Amino acid sequence: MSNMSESLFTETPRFSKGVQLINELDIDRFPKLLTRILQNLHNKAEPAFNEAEQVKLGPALSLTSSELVLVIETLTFICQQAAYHATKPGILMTELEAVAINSDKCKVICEGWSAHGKPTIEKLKKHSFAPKQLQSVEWHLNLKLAQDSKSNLKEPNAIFQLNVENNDNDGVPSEPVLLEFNHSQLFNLYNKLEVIQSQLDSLS
Amino acid sequence: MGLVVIGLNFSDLFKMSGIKDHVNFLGYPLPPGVSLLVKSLKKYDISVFERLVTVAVEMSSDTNPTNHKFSNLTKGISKEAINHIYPGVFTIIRKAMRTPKNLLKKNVFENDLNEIMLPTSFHAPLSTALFGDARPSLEDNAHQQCPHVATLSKLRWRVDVAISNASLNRVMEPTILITITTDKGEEHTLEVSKEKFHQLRYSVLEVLNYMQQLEKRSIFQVET
Repeated sequence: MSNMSESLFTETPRFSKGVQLINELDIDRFPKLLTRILQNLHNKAEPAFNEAEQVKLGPALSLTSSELVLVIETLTFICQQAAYHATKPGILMTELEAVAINSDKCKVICEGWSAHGKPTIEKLKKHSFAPKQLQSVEWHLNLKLAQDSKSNLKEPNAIFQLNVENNDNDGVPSEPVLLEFNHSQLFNLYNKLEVIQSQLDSLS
Repeated sequence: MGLVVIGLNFSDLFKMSGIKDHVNFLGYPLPPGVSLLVKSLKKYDISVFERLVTVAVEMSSDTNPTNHKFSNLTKGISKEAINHIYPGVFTIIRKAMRTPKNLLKKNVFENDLNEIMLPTSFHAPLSTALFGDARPSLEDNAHQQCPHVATLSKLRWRVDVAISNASLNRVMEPTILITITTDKGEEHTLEVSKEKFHQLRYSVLEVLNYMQQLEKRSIFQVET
């Protein structure tokens, strides 16, 4: 029982026009076009095809530039909706046929989705816009032998560098966080991390 | 004619040659403050000396000593007395703190003071300062007074699970948000994904392991 309100795609005039153009596309070029769009789905900053490529692509598919933009948009929208609802390929097939896309194109889309759908969803899951994200952890271990106020020390000392990626409007480049630890301080940190880990474990 | 065989070892030879095997904790030659102290001590009463020892301990235990604090503590003591006594006392305390604990026991300390000809009556304030209750705070301060990169003073965290976002209806990804406060006053808030958190945890464990291995080695067991 498929309810119309549950349909993945709302058929606006622009969407219908896009579908029409897609149906007219040459089937040979179609898979590559789709793959490119799927692979760029998680990358919201950059479009699937840059300016130069769009200029070449239009005549190759016998589309004007505005028609090409519409086709790319429609395909992107289809993929985004499929990702949003985490649609299985079978259901996607039904939905696509319901909006009157030719069955050969439906097949190509579903095949593309089966192949690239899961990695795309995973990438979208990881996507986060927190201002500062931990990228990597580097460290080195020293042995502190003496200082001006104390001789004969022999204390191990670790310096950690937390490389941070700054997602904040790209104004300031990422700043690493430097931290120094002796044995007991590092042990305290380890205990705190263990508590966090137990929380994570209790989730799954 | 018989041969007399004498067994000699290294420390015997050392003693016979007149070279001492113990070096005064103050070093040779004596720091100028200390020689001045020894020369001028006849003029002063033990109470002035005791007061200045207390001042020196206070200033050495403080992480941020200020001139203001010093002038407060030395109210009522003549400038001349301060100039003659304080530098020596401060240097003695500083040098004594620098030497590792097991090399400078109380009797060794008193012997060294005798060697520099500090009158015996003046030993007591210094001994109580260095081997009494004030010792732990002096130790702490000596330990911290060195150049260092920021250390972690506070780590606050929370675990979030993203349920959905603009691109996906169902996300269910846990992430961790941590705020690091360092002892230099900087604050950093970072988001850590599960994978990066595991990397961090692994690095911490790896370093801890190396530290433990280091500490097990024989150079640590031997107390010089």
